[in-house]
Amino acid sequence: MYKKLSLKILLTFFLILFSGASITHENIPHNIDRSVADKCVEPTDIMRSQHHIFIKQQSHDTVVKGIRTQKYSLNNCINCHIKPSANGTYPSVKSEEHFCSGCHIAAAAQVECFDCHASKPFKKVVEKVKDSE
Amino acid sequence: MKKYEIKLDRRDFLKSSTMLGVSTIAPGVFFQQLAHGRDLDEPASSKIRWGMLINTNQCTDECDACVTACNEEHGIEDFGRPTTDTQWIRKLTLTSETTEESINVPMMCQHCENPPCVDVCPTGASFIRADGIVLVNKHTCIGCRYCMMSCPYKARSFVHENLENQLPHAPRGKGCVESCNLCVHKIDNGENNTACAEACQKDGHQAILFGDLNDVESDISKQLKKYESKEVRSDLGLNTAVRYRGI
Repeated sequence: MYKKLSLKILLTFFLILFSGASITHENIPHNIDRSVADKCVEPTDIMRSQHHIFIKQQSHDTVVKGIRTQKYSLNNCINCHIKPSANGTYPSVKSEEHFCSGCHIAAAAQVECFDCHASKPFKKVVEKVKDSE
Repeated sequence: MKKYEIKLDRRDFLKSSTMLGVSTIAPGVFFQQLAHGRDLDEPASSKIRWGMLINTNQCTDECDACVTACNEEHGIEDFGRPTTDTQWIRKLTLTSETTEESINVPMMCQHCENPPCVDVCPTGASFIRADGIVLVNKHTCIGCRYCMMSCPYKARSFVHENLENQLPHAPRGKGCVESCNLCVHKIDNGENNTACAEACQKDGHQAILFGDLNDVESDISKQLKKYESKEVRSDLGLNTAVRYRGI
């Protein structure tokens, strides 16, 4: 019985260790709208591993405390990373063309932000951002 | 004796001149801060308590500008199911049985100081913000709807449908309870007015007045002192931030 258990623990350990290795992110385009910003708010490595932490912290600050800084806000991510395609429409959050879904589909990690949050830039917001630059 | 008097006068003079200086400068600084609003990175302050004064005498029968403006501001859709469709603000018509006189009462979350919805929430999703706005944290709401049962004003709605094309400033989704948030995104951005109040002012009715209840210089505080106003179900002792004239 103990043998079986230790085998299970070992298997789980290896699974955890190598689960990240299967996702490379290399083939997923960044798709940044250069007219909004030149680069992301943090270096790519940090964003890849910690974007959910930033977003979660920001959501708490905004909802509970009323802090509306733009840096880590989900709207800021969307305004920059979601660009209209050639025919002028924004990609659906269900398709792999959507910046968030591109990785999340590959990693089989369900992203639930867009059940409630807007998954594409809102015209007025984008215009405001452009005006302020 | 004479010497003592002179000494006392000098002290008094210094004290009183300092006090006079502080009392002339301090309110100016304080009110300027309030008038300019807070920075985006500054949390909501408990020095402010947002509230509304609704003058039912100026609310007309046909007009539903406040309801339309609210729906538009927050992207609230009509699914043609009146019993379950989301309603943040609704218009009630109250008719007296004896005189048959009717009044219109726009009804929404009353933003109580002692909100029953916050008391009953099992997850802490229903909460009261520092500036007195009662909100639902939709990240922690599990959709149990206890708050809807506890609210004496029937102010809250449950989202029954899958939603699409939500607005960036108004995230809404199936399975959460929601209610009037006093246009919290507008307040945080320093606009300090709500969509319903703006629409009412635009239509020329001026029935809804929004402002800071804690600021003695605000229009709402002045009107609350000048005219008689009531809380709906004041017997419950909830100390609502939304008050009514003419009921």
